[in-house]
Amino acid sequence: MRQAIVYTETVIHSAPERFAAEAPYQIAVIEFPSGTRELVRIAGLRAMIGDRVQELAASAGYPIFEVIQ
Amino acid sequence: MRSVHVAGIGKTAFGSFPDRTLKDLAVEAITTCLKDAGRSASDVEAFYLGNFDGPSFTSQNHLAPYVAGAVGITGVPATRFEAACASGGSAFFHACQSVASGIYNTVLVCGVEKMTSQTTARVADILAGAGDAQFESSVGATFPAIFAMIARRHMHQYGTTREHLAAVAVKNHFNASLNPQAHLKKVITIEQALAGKPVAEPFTIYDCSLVSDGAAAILISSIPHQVRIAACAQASGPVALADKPDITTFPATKAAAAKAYAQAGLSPTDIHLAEVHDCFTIAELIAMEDLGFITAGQSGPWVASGATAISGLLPVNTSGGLKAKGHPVGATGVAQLCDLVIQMRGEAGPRQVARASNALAQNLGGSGATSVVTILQKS
Repeated sequence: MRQAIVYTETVIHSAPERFAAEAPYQIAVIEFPSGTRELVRIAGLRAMIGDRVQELAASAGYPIFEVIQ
Repeated sequence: MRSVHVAGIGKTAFGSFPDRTLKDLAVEAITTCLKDAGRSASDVEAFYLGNFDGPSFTSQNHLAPYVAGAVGITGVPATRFEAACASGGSAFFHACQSVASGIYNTVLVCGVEKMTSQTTARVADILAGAGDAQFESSVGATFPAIFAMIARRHMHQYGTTREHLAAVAVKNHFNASLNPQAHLKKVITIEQALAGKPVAEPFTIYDCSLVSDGAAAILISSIPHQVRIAACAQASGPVALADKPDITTFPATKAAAAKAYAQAGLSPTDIHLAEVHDCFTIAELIAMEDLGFITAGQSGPWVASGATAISGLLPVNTSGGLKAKGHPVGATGVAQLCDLVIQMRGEAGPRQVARASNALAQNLGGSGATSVVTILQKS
């Protein structure tokens, strides 16, 4: 599973129409060891800048990561 | 290149106007502008319209001839420009190029957006279209969320605080309270701003600009007038946040500013007042840094010190900014210029600044994918 570091993040309270039922939810820009970045959804624990995250098997149509404790 | 001048300006009030249409708003701004210039529709050699997403907001497309025809402008090119929130600025930039290069002598620029007929959730969906549809909106990112992540990183790198962000909102709300055409005329405190309803952390509603209806127009000419367009430059950058090496700065603003200062033969210290793109509080702070008014990372304490208040060293967003004057997306870039001209003519009433010979406007599209910087100078 891919691992990365949280570069920046936010918790969305006011969501667009199609995600309104999921709010609040967290998204983050994460940075992989290669230096490339990706915008992903964070599941579970609240992630902060600098936290290490790992990809979950996703079926939502977008990448989902969670904090590695 | 020939010099280009402001022949006239016109603006509607900004706000939520359930009974008014996009066309109706644009017609009012244009009619006011032509009257201000003492010119008629038949003098207009080309019409440039800034509009972000009229088709989604109002189900009307082909907007430039639609609006032009309503004011009697026919038989000349009428073209719409889309550059997200910099649509108005981009239309203006291209209009300036066409007059400066000698293609036309008199060009009318209008910016308009009719947003409030949609629900907040639908507006969030439409605005998310200014980001990257494949990699951002598909994950659930909203426009406030993109700028909230920029704010978080700025706070992390430079120690910027929520109080610094709130200082932008408090200042712009106060300025708007002095502007009869502003959407909100409600003075707020730092405490109120911090305690607002959360939108995307660390942002509350007080960090976000307004969803507004409105239009603005400006007639430009090769004939000398009181206000000259000393420079106008547009630059681009990546659309997706994840593609930017450093998200605490907008390279497109820096590039456009460098070109504009060079064209005008001016430096940041020569600027007397500015209207900048405060779509979110963090965007005004970053604009201060990208435009060279203050060192990178220092904008928070600087703005919180009152340096950019109406009575400060460099008054910024004396109109109330996008934050409180309102942000009818496509109108914003044109309205900023109208607001500067009002100051330069000494017609700003209680928000009038002391010095207004050199004025700068910065209009940002998306999370920095387009930036337009314009410098106006008294002739």
